[in-house]
Order: sequence, then C-alpha cells, then structure tokens
Amino acid sequence: MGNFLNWTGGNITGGSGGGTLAGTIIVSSSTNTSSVSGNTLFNASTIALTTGSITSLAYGGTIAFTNLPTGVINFQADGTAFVVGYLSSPTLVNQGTISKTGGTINGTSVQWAVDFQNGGTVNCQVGTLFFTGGGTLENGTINLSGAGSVQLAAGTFTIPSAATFTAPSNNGAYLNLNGGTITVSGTLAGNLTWTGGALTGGSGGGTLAGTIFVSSGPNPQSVGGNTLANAGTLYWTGGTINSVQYSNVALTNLPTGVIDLRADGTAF
Amino acid sequence: MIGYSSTATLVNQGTIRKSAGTLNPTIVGWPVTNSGALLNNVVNTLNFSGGVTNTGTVTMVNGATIGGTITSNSSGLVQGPAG
Repeated sequence: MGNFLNWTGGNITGGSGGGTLAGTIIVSSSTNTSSVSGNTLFNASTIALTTGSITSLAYGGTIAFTNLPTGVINFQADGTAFVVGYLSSPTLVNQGTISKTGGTINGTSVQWAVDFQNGGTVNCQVGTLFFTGGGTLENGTINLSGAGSVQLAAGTFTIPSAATFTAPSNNGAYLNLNGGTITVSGTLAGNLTWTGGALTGGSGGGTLAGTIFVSSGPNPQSVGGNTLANAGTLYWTGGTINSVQYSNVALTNLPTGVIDLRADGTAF
Repeated sequence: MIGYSSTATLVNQGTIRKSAGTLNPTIVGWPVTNSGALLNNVVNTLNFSGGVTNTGTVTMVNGATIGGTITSNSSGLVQGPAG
C-alpha cells in the first residue's frame, strides 16, 4: 500500500466551502475517538475501517458526510462502524460504494442514517451488514453485490413522495427488511425480503409495486397507516403480519395485487 | 394479527390466494373487505377468522375449505370448483 493517513483519533470536518478526502485513510481502533462534523465533507477515495469506527461529533447537530461516486468506504471487521455521537444527527450520503470485506461473526452496523442515492453500491462480501439508523431510499436504485447479507435493521427508512425506489436483486438475494420501518410515501418496486419490521404508508399514500417475500425472522412484521396499497405480489411463507399498535390500519390490495399464501399458519 | 389497541382492515380488490400448505389452516385474522378474488387452491383450510364482507368472488378447489364468516351481498359470489 502506498501513502495513507492512519486515523486513530481526532476530528475531520469540511470547511465552509467544502472539503474532499482524496487519499486513502485507514481507521483503526484507538483510545481516542475518530469523529466527523459539518455538512461539507466529501470522500472521493478509500476509507478503510480495519477495527475502528467513525463517530459523529458530540453536540455536532446535523452532520452530513458524502461518499462521492468514486468513494469507497470499506469495513474490514465486525462492529459498529459509524457511531452516532451524543446530541448529533448524522447522515451518510452514499453515491459511491459501501463495502464489507471482513468480519463474519457479529456483523457490521452503520448507526448513522444513510441516504441511499441512485447508482450507489452496497457490496457485502461476507457476513451481515446492518443499517440501523434509518435514512432515505431515493428515487432510482442501488447496486447490491457480494455473498453477504444486507439488512435494513432499525430506524425509519423513507421513500419520498414521487420517488420510486427499486429494491435491488443480487443473484437471487435481495435487500432484507428485518427491523425498523420503511415508510413509503412514493413507490417501493423491485424485490425485498421481509423478515421483520414495519411497512407503512406515508401521509399522502404509498404503493408496493414489486415483489415482497415474507418469511419468519427474529422480529415480527407489521403494517401501519391507512395509505399503503399493494399493486405487486406479496409471497407469504411465514411470520405474522400484524397491524401496528395504537393505529388504525387499512392495507389495500389493488386490482393488480396478489397476496399469495404459501404455507400454513397465521398470515395476518 | 391485529396489534394491541389497533384496528386493521384488508381491502382486497385483487387476489388473495392460498397456494400451498396442507397440514394446518392458513389464517387471515384481519377483517377482509373483498371486491376481488379470494381463492383456496389447496385441499386444506383458508380461514378468514376476521370475517369477509364480500362483493367479489370466493372460490375453492374441490376438497378445499374456506372458513370464517363470509357475508356476501347480492353481487358477491361464493363458489366451488366448476363442473
């Protein structure tokens, strides 16, 4: 490996006019915190987290760190890679590649909200990559690759109104909703496995237009809101779809919609 | 199932079908308002335990069972296999 910055502590922030990380940075464990602040920091090269994590600066308020189309954020171990600091609200805007190439036991978690922008890539080669801070599933799609599992595991992931997010396919493997919530204000297309967590319509309505595979998992499934409509196909093989507690729920299966019950048990 | 302190309705304008599972019933506990098609294609039970208000069609293959209270109005149809 050529020149690189070994980042074992301290804060990196973009200046008022913005700043770009254009070289390789290795983040490794330390007794100090490696933190990010500001809204104008961009990554155009490679940030490799070998054992450490990146934390949003405590009391940092709203923080946005953008991984540009040429940028790679590479997780080489299990653990929480992006940590939310006290009284901060960070977002990782991904236009480039988020990859996991090491760690096969406990998985790697991204605690920050992630703005999944069209054309970005999530490459999980081993183990499981958990997104636990919610975020935005933008209009378009993302590239999903690798033999590992990618889970939307906690937090609220929003599909904005007028947006169609096409959940990606990866050689028969799909993005997995296993916890948290997808709030659909626009349209959810593509393929999704649903083993836990909630699907809910936004206040202006939301449509499921793709194929959703429902099966049992460690968390229950639930549906919320009065505005969620299915125009695609929902294959149910396990788990139970509950209505969200303390809410009035109507799920509309549209004329093109199919709910295919492929097993015994309580589906709804 | 219906979550704690919530109400739930499954409004069906499309198709809800049981296509596999032969040992035990498949249960839909939410009340269903059906103007589309409810199908049981398996010789087993599809139980709408939350009841169905039907203005569409409810169809089962020979030997199949559909359970629950099906309330059809004049345009609703509940039918077995053709022939």
